[in-house]
Amino acid sequence: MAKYEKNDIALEVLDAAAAWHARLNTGDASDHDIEQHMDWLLADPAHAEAFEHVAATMRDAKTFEQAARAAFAEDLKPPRKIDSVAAADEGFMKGWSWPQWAVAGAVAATLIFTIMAPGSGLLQPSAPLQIYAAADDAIESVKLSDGSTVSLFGGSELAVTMKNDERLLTLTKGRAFFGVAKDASKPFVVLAGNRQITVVGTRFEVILGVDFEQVAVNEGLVSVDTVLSADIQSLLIEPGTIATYKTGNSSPDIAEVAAAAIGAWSEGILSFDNRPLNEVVAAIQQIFPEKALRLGDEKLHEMTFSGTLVVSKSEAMMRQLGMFLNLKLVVSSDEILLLP
Amino acid sequence: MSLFMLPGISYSLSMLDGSEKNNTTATDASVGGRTLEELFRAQRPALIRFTMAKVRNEAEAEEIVQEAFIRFQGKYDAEIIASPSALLARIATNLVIDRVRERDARAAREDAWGKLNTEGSGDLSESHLGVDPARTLDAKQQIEAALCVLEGMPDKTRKIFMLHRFEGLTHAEIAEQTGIPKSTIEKHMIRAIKELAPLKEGYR
Repeated sequence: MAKYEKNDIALEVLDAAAAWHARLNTGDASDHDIEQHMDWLLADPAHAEAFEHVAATMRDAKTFEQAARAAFAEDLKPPRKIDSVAAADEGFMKGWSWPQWAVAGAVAATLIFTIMAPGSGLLQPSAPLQIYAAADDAIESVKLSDGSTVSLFGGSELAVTMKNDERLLTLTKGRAFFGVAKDASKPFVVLAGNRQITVVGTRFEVILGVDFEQVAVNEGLVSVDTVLSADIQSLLIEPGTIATYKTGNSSPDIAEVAAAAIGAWSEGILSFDNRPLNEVVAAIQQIFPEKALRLGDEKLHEMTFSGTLVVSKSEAMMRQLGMFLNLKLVVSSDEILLLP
Repeated sequence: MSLFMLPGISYSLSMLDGSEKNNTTATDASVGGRTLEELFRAQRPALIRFTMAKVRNEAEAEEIVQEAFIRFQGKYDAEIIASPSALLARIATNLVIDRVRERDARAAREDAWGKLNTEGSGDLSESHLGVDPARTLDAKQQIEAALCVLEGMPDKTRKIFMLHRFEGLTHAEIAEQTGIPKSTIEKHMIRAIKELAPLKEGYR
């Protein structure tokens, strides 16, 4: 009999436990299988220990489910068809990738954008390049041809290429918040400076700063790779996590915030219901990390704010807030201060 | 005879899932999602056989098995215990050992299948409750390690594992979708389980 110590599972016992787990989960295990399984469990306490371990391993596989789905998307086909859809598999797949004319339609619907399609190539079979840009003082939202949505912050620019096997986007300026439509056959790849962000279906924000690049995830899981780097280890970012890569720094600074706060600006407004003032200021700061925003007096920490702020510039938003609460605003070159 | 004729069993089982109705909702996910009641019924002959072999007295064996089921209900917590079956086996084993010890302390000491956790009554979860904080802090690294293991698997093995575990397809459905025979799918699942198990804390 295998020598057994606590937590030390002999290989042949692990083999048997794995075999039992697979057998009992085929979907057609019989009462006889279950009875024999109990015989095996009772034959040696090591068996029960090993089986519990194996069962826990499989139960907890959900902890890496999202990461696995993102990393091995090609292993899982798009959702199985539902009876009411009653479409043949092929038809379903076709519907999954939008026809080219849909690109033109989406573009026409978003006149606020500067659109530069090289050549007259919207209907060309090769993937056309779309460039979207938001005016300096406006947040613009666009629905891409694959059903994904992008919110562009004021003054931002994004290039989009929908290829047959990949959705490739390049953030050339500013910041963007993405709501990615699931399509396992076409990874959604965002390039920003030295970062390459790959996802399947999720909501996340990318900032291309003057001396930093930042990736923050609202929902799902994204993997961030450094372009042209020998470091093959991708960074996986979970909801609520902000990874900031300072120029010249290969490893990111990681910060955690409430996931809902990430990309909140894409709505165009920030709403607060009786929130402490420092929390409100922190929400504005999260959108504008460049300049420090501070409460200049202890008393202000006890104040709360209910209302809606229009997302614009940090100074304008702080001024808006100050007017609501009857506070003074002091703006210097390195910080914006609220005072009683 | 049906186990659920025994006083107290049905009632306590329904307490397991906090429902007022009957004892059919709590399931053992480690055994293909059967209800605990169905499982107990199927497991009972094996438990009686085991206790009979040790105590050599039919009435006593029945009594031990019944007590094992009752104790199981006191200890079972779906949050902690991944396999109720393994917990039941452990409880039955320890009850038999206690019984034999009472009768003949020396015989118990010489017995090869001696009790492992002498303190307590052998709750299976004990070894898993003592989670090393250093390891739980490493959740992200655990995910990365799992991805490495998945990456190293043959494509077919990984695909079958993901279809079964994440998409919730039965082996028969996977067979239908991929054309791979069911017996082969089972072998791929065994391989996937064996490769992933060492990542889980508590293993060394």
